[in-house]
This record gives sequence, structure tokens and C-alpha cells, in this order.
Amino acid sequence: MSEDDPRIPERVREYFGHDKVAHHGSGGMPAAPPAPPGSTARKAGETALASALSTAGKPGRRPGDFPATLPPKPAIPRRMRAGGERALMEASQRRFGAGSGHPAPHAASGWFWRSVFAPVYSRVPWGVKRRMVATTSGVKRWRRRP
Amino acid sequence: MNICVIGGGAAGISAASMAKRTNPDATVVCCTEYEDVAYSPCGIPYVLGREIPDFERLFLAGPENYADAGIDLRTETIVSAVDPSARTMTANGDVLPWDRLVVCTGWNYTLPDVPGNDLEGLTFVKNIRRGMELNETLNDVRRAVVLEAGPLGVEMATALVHRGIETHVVDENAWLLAQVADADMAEPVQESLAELGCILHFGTGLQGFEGSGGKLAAVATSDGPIEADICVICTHKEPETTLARSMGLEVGSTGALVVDERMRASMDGVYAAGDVVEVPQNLTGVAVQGLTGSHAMQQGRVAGANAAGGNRRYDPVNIPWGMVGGQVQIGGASFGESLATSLGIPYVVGAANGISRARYFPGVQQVRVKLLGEPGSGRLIGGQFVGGEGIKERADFLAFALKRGATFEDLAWMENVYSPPIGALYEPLSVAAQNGMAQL
Repeated sequence: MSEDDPRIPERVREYFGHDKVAHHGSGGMPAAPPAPPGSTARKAGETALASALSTAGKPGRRPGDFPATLPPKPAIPRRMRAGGERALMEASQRRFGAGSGHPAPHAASGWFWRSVFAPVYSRVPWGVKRRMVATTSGVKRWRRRP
Repeated sequence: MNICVIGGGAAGISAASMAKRTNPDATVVCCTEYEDVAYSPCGIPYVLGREIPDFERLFLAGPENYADAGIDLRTETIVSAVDPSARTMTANGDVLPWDRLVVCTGWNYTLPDVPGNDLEGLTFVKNIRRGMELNETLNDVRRAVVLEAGPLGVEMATALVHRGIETHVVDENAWLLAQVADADMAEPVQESLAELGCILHFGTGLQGFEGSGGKLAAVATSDGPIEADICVICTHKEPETTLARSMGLEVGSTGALVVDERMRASMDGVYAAGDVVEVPQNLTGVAVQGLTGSHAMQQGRVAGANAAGGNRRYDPVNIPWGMVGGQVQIGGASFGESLATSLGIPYVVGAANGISRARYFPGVQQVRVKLLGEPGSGRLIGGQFVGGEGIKERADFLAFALKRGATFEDLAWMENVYSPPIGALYEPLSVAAQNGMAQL
């Protein structure tokens, strides 16, 4: 919220907008200025900006311009975990969202996970589930700090 | 001793720095395929949203600082192969020997496997120079879609509406931050985003990207097409394991590398850290991956120290998280109701609405707290906070309380700061715990 916002009473205006951020209310110090001229951080920033501005809007591949990938064909444990997790999240969201006006989640899990796995899982006691989860998705070779 | 680090993000730079500090006699080489290191990628959305005036402020150091520290930092250097038997790696054609290798290759966004996923206009926020380029082109953008309302999606939606861009958020979940937050806790953030002008489409599936002439024109969803000049992809962090897989390193149930508590990967002399590894959640032991920059940094420190001959341990995580969405802060640690219910974990809830300062003090904000505890023992299993201020500190505190096995009773009788400008007499966290005790 800006300190110019008309909703702010005059007597508390000084508490708003010190650093022009959206995180209203708490005042605070002004944001840090750029690193001093001649510093390595300033030089790195200026070099990067000059380079980026010279290439902005121009065609050509550059490092990190498409940092997205289709996941590698997952092994069975990962496929099972992903399918089960999604179905269980959908079931949970349907339960909690229904009473509060939220839409149902988009049904992205498959029929098996949604109609078979999730209902069966919900009937299993937590002690058994805990062992199932630890076996299928737990880490090995870690120990708790005493 | 030759220590090679692959990756120049939070984990890689921390690993290289800590390795050199632990063993000053070691030769430490750190290779990154990108142009820059030592900047804050998490600050990029705030520059794009014009809350921070320029990108230069995000830089913390220059490459010279690493040379001064005795680290051979090689930018724009691609490690194309690693030979575990010869203990060498090939970086931009140079064959470098290593006695210890630290793999910090990070992550990529999961690319939606739908038609049109190669169109110009699909936009990613990750690398700072590409962020600078995006900043220039945003001036010509009228409509944008943000795909998935995770933490980055919410930050980017906030940034784009600040820029005056018509912004749509598309997410297949029922509410915002649904992987970690409960519906009632996310609600104030959604309201704030909507108030800023953001158009929210929850429970909506992505069907494809439509375009003409190779350029994005609309995002096809289960609720119909949404016209857009750009689509900011904020999907899940997919660990970048191409090189690690070629070495034969073991991959776990999240698709990330398996490491032990000393960040040792499944091969002698090889360590790994950051978004490329999976670590256990503290309460369940379940492997989790794709955490925050602070987790990556700490993991890198452990991996670097141990690679150089140290003996440090990394603890299972409780994953404190927090952020600003619209004009509301939200955060938490470990389990909320929705996540606990999905896993089938039994719990009781202690909730409270409180305030961040004395009620008569200017700037006082509401703070809503929800804690979850084990039935019977009352041992905490997680919690969430939403409000105007003081959220991050409570999330950090809760994560520490979880690590130490605290109960509702411990928090109900906790000491707290009471000082009108910074804290109310009744700490909302403590009141929530008292309410939780009543449910046991």
C-alpha cells in the first residue's frame, strides 16, 4: 500500500509505504541501495544488465531461456507415488473445499487412483499407512538426531 | 585434493565456498552453465513487479570475489560428461580431475505435456538475465496467464497485476497454494489477489497452448480459452538429473537423487545438494524435493564441508515456508489439515485469531493461526499462519518447535514478548495451542 492511499488516516500515514512495497503496514527501513560504484557486485549487476538489454527481444538461444523439461520416463515407484499423491490431494480438496465455496479440483488423477486407490487408502489404519508410505516413499540411511 | 562442484546456484556456490573454507589447501573448481552467480533469483518477481527498482540490487558479489577466495569459478561452462571410474569430468572440452564431486545441477520447470508447448510466449522466471529481458518485453504485454498457483505463481501474479497487466491464474487445484495451505488459510490471499485485479481460475485443467505464427495467442483450459500474450510457467520443480543418471547415481521416489544425511550420493566420493536431491520430511520420513533456496544453501554447506573432509549432518526437514500474496502474508511448516487428511494422518486442530501488535497501536494487523497436533499426546505436526505481518517469524519458530518435538502444552505455556509496537499481550500461537489442548 502506498503512503498516498486515501484510506490511510493522516495520523498513521508515516507507517506506510517507506520502501514502496506491497507489504503494507509495518513501515521499515528504506530498501538497500545498489552496491557502491566500483564494487564487484555493482560491476556484476551492470555487466549482466548491459548484456541482457543488448539481447532483449532479439532471436537466438541463450543460457536458461527455456528452463523446462518433460520429466524422464518415470520408474514404477515414482509413477505410483505421483498417481497416489494426486488422487489423495484431490479427495482432500473436495472434502475441504466443498463447504467453503471452492470449486472441485480438476480431476487429473486417473480412474484407478481416484476410484480405487483413494477410497481403499482412506480405510486403512494410520499405523499401516505409515509403514506403507515409509516403505514406498521413505528415505533410507538417515537417522534422527537424539 | 581436487573438489569439483557442478552448478552455481545456492547449493553449488555454498558447497564451493564451504569446501574451500574447510580445506584451504584443496583445489576447488565450480562450473555453471550460466553467465552469473551470487544473485538473488527469488528477487526477480519483485523487480518485474516494480517493487524493487532495478536488477542490479539483486547481485551480492562478483566472480572476482570467488577468485579472491581461491575458488576457480567457471561461468558459461557446461559439464557434458563425468567419468566416475577415472574420476574426471569434461567441462567445455577441458578434462578436470576430481577426488570429490558435488552435484548441484538444480532443477527445471516441468514442461506441460500439451499441444503448443513450444510456442513463443511461454515464459519462465529463473535466470536473472532472462528476467531482465522479460522485464523489457513486459511493457508490451496486455494479458498474461500464470500457470499454477504455487509460491512463485502467486508472486508472479502479484507482480504482473502491479504492472497493470490483465492477469489470469490457472490451477487445477481447488485453491491457491493447495500443496501446502488449507482452503481457509489461503482465502485471504485469494481475496487480496482478486482485489488487486487478478482473475483466478481454480479447479481448471490446462489443455494446451494456442497460437499463430509460432506465437502464443491463448491458453486452452477446461473452462475455455483465455487470451494471453504470455504464459508464465510456474510448474513443479523437476530435478535436473541428466548428468547424474548418466553417472549411474541412484534416483528416489521423487525423481531426485538419493543422498544420506551427510549429503553423500550413491557413489563413493560423490556428494549432491539442492533441488537435485531428496531429503526426508521430519515427521514421516517421506522423501521430499524441490524445497527453498535456504534449504539448498544449507545442503550445499553440508555437502561442501564433507567433501573437503569435514563431518557435518543435515537434519530431516520441517519445511518452514512463507510468502506475500497480494497484500497478505501466509506461511507455515509441515502439515496443514488438507495435506494431513490426504495422507490419512490423524490430528486435532487448535486455531486462534489474534493480532500482531497491541490493539491500540498503529499498523496492528490480524494474524490467524492454525496448529495441528497428534491426538492424545498433542505433539505438534504442523501449522499455518495468515495475516498482515509477523508470519515468517512464526513459521520459523514453529519449524524449530517441530524439530524439538514440542506439544500443544509446550506452546500453550510458552513465554512471549509483549511490547505494544511489536507484539500483543496474548501471542496468537499460544492461544491456538491452548485451544488445541481443549481438543485433545
